Amino acid sequence: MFKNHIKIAWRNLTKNKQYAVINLAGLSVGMACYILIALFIQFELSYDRHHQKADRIYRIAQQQPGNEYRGTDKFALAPLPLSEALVLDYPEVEAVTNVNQDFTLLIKGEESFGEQGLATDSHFFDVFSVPLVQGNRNDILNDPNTIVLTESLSKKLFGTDSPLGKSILYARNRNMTVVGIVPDPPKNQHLNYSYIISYKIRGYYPNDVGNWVSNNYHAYLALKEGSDYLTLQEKMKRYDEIAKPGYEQLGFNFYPHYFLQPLKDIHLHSNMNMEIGANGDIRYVYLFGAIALIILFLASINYINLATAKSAQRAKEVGVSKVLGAKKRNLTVQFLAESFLLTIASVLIAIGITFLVLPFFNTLLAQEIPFDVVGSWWIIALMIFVALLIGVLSGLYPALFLSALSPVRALKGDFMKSHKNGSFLRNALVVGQFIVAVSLAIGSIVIHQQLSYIQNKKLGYTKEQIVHVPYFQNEISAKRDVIRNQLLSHPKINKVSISTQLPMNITSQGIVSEWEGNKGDEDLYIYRCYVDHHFIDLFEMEIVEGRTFSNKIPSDSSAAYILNESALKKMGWKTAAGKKFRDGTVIGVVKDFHLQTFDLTIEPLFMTMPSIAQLDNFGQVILKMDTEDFASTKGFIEKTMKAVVPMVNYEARFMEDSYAQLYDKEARLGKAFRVFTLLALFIAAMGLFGLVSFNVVQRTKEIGIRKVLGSSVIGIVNLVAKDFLKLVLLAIVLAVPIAFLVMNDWLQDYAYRTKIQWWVFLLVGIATIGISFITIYFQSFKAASSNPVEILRTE
Amino acid sequence: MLLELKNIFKWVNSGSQRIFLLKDINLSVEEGEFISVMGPSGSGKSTLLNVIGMLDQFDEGEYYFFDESVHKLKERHRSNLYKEYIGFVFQAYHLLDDLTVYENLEMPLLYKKYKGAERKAMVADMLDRFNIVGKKDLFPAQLSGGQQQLVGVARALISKPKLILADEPTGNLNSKQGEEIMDLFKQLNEEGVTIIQVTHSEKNAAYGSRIINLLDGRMVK
Repeated sequence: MFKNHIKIAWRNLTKNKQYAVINLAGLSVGMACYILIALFIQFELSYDRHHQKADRIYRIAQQQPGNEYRGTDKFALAPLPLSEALVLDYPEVEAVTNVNQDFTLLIKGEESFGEQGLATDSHFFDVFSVPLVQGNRNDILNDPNTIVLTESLSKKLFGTDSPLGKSILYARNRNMTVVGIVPDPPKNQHLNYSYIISYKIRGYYPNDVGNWVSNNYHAYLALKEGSDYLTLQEKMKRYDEIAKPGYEQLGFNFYPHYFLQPLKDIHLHSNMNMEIGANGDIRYVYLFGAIALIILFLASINYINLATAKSAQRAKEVGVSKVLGAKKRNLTVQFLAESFLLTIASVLIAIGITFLVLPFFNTLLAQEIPFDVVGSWWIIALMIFVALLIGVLSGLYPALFLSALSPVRALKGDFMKSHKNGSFLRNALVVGQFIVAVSLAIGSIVIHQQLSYIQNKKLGYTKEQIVHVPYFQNEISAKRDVIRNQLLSHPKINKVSISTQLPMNITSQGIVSEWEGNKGDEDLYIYRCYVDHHFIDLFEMEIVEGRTFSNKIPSDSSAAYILNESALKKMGWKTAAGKKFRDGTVIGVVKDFHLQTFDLTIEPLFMTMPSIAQLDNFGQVILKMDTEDFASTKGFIEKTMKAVVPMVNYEARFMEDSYAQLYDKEARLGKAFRVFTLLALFIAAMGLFGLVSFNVVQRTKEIGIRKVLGSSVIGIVNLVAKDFLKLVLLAIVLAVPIAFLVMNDWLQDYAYRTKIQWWVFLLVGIATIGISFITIYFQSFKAASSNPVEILRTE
Repeated sequence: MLLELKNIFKWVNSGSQRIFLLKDINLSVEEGEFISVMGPSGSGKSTLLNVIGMLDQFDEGEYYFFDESVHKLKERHRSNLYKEYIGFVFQAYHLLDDLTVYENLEMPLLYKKYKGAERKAMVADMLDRFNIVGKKDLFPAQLSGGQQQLVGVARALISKPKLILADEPTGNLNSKQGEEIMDLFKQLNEEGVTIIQVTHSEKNAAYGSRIINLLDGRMVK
């Protein structure tokens, strides 16, 4: 009997291939989409949870009210003495470790590798669950001249040989002995590293000891089991008072409030200054979660709609079966079996799609999310539950409704008219999914517009035809005149500047209180950028008052300042040239340019030329050049710099690429939105298709009669289409204000933003109507061109 | 001459066999005739009616309607032709359940692009003529079978066709209701409308001026 059910189910499928393909595809795509997003969410939520003590590890951070920097006054940093005091003062503190990010060059023989690691202490291994693959726990990080490598870095440096006891050159000047190997850090961990060293070898360490004002460390503490971190946080207030005098002594009018932040909150709930790397954002997790649920819900409803519409055509089969003695139970079982067969097949197809699409999805999100069926069992379990639910719901209608029909009515096929109810719900669902699709479409266009606004807005400096090479070696700073002249000898290179920062993302900020007319001894928070003679000219910045730096005037090379307009405004100056500022004089004013990303307003800035003592050991070699045949010029630039510092591999980059990199998050969001827009439109179109199918089946007789009475095919099509286009229009009308409000809110995050144009709504509206049009017409045309004689035959 | 069928054949292929639905039908119908088509089930009565009504195609032969060669016409012209001259009455009435009596009557006029005022007048005229003014706002489900068929006939007549094709118009009615419909046909015929009806009943057939008998798709004398 069961075999028979499967047989009929299979034949029904193959008979209605188009229907089967469309319906299965819709459900599978919806489910695959859900699985992908669920995997993403699972991954985001899993950050840092693999540590055994994850539940009781806290990061020590601080708030400095009055010291707002880049939109927040919270800093993910702590001073060294604080963590030392915590262990001594409070027995509930099990261990504290201080961590610092470290970028360096590791050299073995002739090969050099630019690597990113952690500078920490041996308590790191007490707080975090990082097992040693090789080495002895007692040796680790006690001697500052030792280093711990990850497995993959060890492989890169030493191949398959055991590296223990071998030495490598660190930062070109220090021999380090390898004392341990640790596994590569998992991707879902906010601390990323390829080696671990002791922070005691870092130049500023001696200054940090006992210094409450020197916030150079990310500190993590593990509490003993059963202790409450809020209680400890309360007790920690006394340290605020201990730190205060140091701040006062330096003339700051703020001082820190220390607090604890659970380790598990760092990835999704933290947006402080000086975070380690870029964090996730819980808002995106919610957004994506909502999208996943909506898509799954819509796909399920569509499936049910289409399946019930189709099953109504099988009334005759039911009638015959009943006449031949089938009981209601038999029919119910048959319909349900068929339904389950399809929905479970969808789950399998969806899992297949997920495997195929996951690599693209990972590229899109710049993640490495694994699809481990065992580890993600709950996703699959929920999927199967949903599949069974859809199976029951879509099988229940035919199972209960059709099998309850009297065979005579079923055979006559005139029961359809009694099934009018529920059309409101069906219509509402289609309107709902078009609202989602239209809103997403508008959203993705607005994101795109904001991105192109960012890309095209006049920044106050030029970024075209500019190439830059970041460096971290004081040799470059020291020999900058020589390097510049060598570079300029290349015919394609027009201008060269060697400065500390690029104008697009100036991060260094300080406080100035000595300026002419500062009566109340006010603090001016001002960004700073150390430049050379050529910087302003190379970037074609506009000088609105005074003059730029000149190499003919020797006094320009120290204590001469160029301010931006915002700085003048902050200080209440009308003019600036000649006025006293800091330890020197202002020589000019540069027109405001965007020195930070567009979410931040243009802040005060000064530019000055560093004295030899002020020369930093890092910076940017910036070139204005003809970028044609870039590959060979690039080679020349890198070779020229390598000639100065042979061990380092320099990389010349287009400034425009680096600029785009600043908005990587937006670009990815935009891409993800585009994908979901397409999906939502596809699913909405499917839903419409289902609804039209159902409607056409219901109106078969009417269509026949109208044709006989003289309606043309087009007339019928219009008749059917009109009602649906109305629904789509309604959806558009409802979606426009929703999308406008949400996207307008999103744009508020940017200090500089595009306006939402009216034509966006028009464009999306027309496109949506176009897609609906095709969907509706495809289905209703088929119905309209059928022969009315067939439909109206009563024999 | 209203219409003429010459050597009409219609068949379907079933496997390797060709099954004839209509075989060598020759028929001419003059204006003002009232023809009854009779024959057992499956003899091709409805098929013949559908062919005459241009709802169905035939495979061979010639069909002239008012000297137009129907067999040469394109779909669009054919449909214009029958829209203009032919009205249909069905055994199962085939009224639209969602439309009122008034709206059902108005529908064919919409497809012929009559103006609003004209339509109103024509529908009112029809309601009046069939004494169903009081029912104009009712839905078909609220009417008896006889009344529904009355609306069906009124709908067929509203665009003033030359020819009415009726497929067992009394098949779903009781004898009294049936008689009323047949009387109505008789009366229409006397006013000049040509009628071709398919019927099983000798009694109904007797209303006509000529009877055509079909057997296995062939006309028998």
